[in-house]
Amino acid sequence: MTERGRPHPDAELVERLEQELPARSEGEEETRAVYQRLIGRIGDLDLVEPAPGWEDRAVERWRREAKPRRTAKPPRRVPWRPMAAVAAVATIAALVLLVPRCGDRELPALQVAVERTGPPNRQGGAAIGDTLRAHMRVDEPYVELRVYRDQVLVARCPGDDRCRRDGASLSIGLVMDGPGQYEAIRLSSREPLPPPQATGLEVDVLTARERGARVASEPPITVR
Amino acid sequence: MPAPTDGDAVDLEIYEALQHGDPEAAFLRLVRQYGKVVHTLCYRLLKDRARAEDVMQETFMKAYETIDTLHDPKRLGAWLNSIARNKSIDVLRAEKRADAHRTAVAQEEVGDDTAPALEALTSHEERRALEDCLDALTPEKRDAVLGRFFAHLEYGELAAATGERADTLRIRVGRAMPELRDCLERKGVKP
Repeated sequence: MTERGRPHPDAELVERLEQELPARSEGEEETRAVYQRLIGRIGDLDLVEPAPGWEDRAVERWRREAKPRRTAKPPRRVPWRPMAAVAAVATIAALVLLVPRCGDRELPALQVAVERTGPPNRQGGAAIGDTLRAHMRVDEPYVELRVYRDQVLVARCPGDDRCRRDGASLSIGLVMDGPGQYEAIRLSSREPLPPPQATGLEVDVLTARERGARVASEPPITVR
Repeated sequence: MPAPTDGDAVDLEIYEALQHGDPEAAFLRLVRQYGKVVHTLCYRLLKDRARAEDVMQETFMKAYETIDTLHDPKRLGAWLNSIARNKSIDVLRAEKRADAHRTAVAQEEVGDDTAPALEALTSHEERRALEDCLDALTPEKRDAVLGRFFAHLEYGELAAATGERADTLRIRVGRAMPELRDCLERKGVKP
């Protein structure tokens, strides 16, 4: 069974086990015991020893290549004039190469902010009626901006009326009209992106990564 | 907070020695303490002893050079494992095509397996079966399972090492374990 197919019936059980949640039935308890034994077996896998002499080889390489973190030796004399000439040339080359690209890098991969439009929230965080503003860079053939509320997809750009495309950026303004955790993610790839699933944010992220997409996210915004 | 174990005390001693002691003696102690575990993790991910030893050496050199960045000295072992894991994955990425081929071959072998389910197997054979089934997982799943249960990394540590979300990794482990179980049962091993 692959990750793209239907998950194995035990997958959720293992997740619950790993979250240290209690078993929901005796049957689950028994199945858990099987996985706990399996986990123990993985932890007890035999050590694979390196070939004899490995410690000496490791230290030998350390002597050759490791950068000393502190040194008692006096600093070496540096031929300043040739070094200065090389540094000047390198600086000019760096400026020539980097300056034209700076404009491309002004916009981060994903930027999320809250625009206060609702009443102040005494508990902190955002309030109902505030607007989530997400901007993302468009620098690959396939890019998507998705916003989830409590793991459920509520907006997807491009494709949503609230999305705006401006040159190399894509943005959305989403009024957070109810309590919950709102989270924006950016997906990008050179290949078509997998569509969102009914199972929600985590599975979407997992599926996208499995297909080679990059995923950027920002901490969720809590609306109370 | 749990009381420090002997392992914690050893980790603290090595950490102190790396910070303030004789550098070579401290480095050697680090290598002796963790070499076999780190090498095993690298080997299980890379399936090649020469490359595993190479990555193990790089792991220790990086640890030596960046020991200042270790926030909790008692997590020295987990920290080393996360460095080793990242370096191994870098090597795998560089050889992605070859690795995909190896995985496909391994999966075919598992699919063709017709071993009688109830045949008694020796402990050695059971370990071998588990290693084969781990090899049959996708590299991502194998990495997550080994990182979690062999290297004993917490999901937060795995997430920091991989750049992925802890919940994503937990789901991946949740999906990988039933595959492992099924694979073992096909080989006649009762987990």
